[in-house]
Amino acid sequence: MTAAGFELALPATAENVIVVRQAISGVAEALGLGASRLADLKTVVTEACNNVVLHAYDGDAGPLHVVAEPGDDELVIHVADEGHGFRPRANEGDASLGLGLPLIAALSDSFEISGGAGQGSRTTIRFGYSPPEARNNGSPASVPTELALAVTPGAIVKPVLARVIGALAARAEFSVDRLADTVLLGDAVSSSGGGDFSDGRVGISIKDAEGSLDVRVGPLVEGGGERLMSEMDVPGAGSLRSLASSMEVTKGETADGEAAEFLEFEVSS
Amino acid sequence: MPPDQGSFAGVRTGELALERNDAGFAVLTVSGEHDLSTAPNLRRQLESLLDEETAAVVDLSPATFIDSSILGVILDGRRRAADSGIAFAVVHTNGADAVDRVLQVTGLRAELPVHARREEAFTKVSGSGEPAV
Repeated sequence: MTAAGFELALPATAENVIVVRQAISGVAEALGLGASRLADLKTVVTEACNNVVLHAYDGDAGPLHVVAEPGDDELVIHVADEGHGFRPRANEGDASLGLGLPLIAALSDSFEISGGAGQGSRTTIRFGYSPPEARNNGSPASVPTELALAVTPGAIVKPVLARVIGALAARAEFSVDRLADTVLLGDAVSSSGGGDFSDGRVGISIKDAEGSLDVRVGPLVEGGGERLMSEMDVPGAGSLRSLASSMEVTKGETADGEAAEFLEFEVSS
Repeated sequence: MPPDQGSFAGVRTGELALERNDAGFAVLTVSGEHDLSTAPNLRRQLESLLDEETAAVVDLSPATFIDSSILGVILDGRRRAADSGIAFAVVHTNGADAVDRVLQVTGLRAELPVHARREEAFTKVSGSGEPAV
């Protein structure tokens, strides 16, 4: 299944998000996507554009770039800006804060955010033409509960991880204290800088279980798991490890099938 | 009151209709596609109702698309209503469209909660269901 993609550059305004949504709907139509898949695609593209409109330019004018590249079995979408991309906003009272990224994560096959101070930000979304459940031997449809995130090391890791983890913990009805603990653990992962990650990107997957979050960090190079754990020991302040109900280093594989380590921990409400 | 409406390439965008009834509550019906560009209008209308302490039902049934900014407005409305002791309910009668998907994936269908029948929502805000605190 192939069709022509598009490159779109337009002012990053709220009114223009529907323009992008229409453009992507046109591609979806050419690809023959079903109604529910089209709905998911419109949501992930809208949320990626919202992040640019809301966060890239502090309300000033600036460009929003959208590229759609149809492949044989998936659509790759890049949403980019030339501003400062994602930044934490302490004064934002918007209750929707934090819902956008989890929506992208839940409805796409994968997504990645890259960029840094002064470089703009770029969100790359991979979106399969068939829903994940259809690729799983026809198993019944289920709502995705696992979120996978890979972020290029740099200034955006901390705010992105904090928002995603905070949103998931809030949704799992964590108390304020436990939510703060969970964000602290996310910060510890963010602070590692990416040197121990096998592919150079800070990778984390989070599974929303009953009353707890199962977090898997990696793939890491050999010894990376132990180093990450030891970095959680703060002199004079005890260990962040104790905030998790369990934590261990496990063996696994990278997406390319190479041996790797993972740091896995569980945080309970 | 005539609906607020706009259009883009034949897509229904940002339509809101406000209906008040004798039972003392208002129904704010959200139609077409709603996103960041229409969220301020929805927020204004909802805040106006809450300012005058009018119980409100937000009916998402005719909406064809909503994003996280619309969810944010609804969550803010619910919080403010709860803080002020004003009855507030959300209804979505369709089961399989883009709006339902977003409500389900975010967990808000259960969290808000979103009523599947208008009568349930009306009962809640008219006082014969769950009382306003």
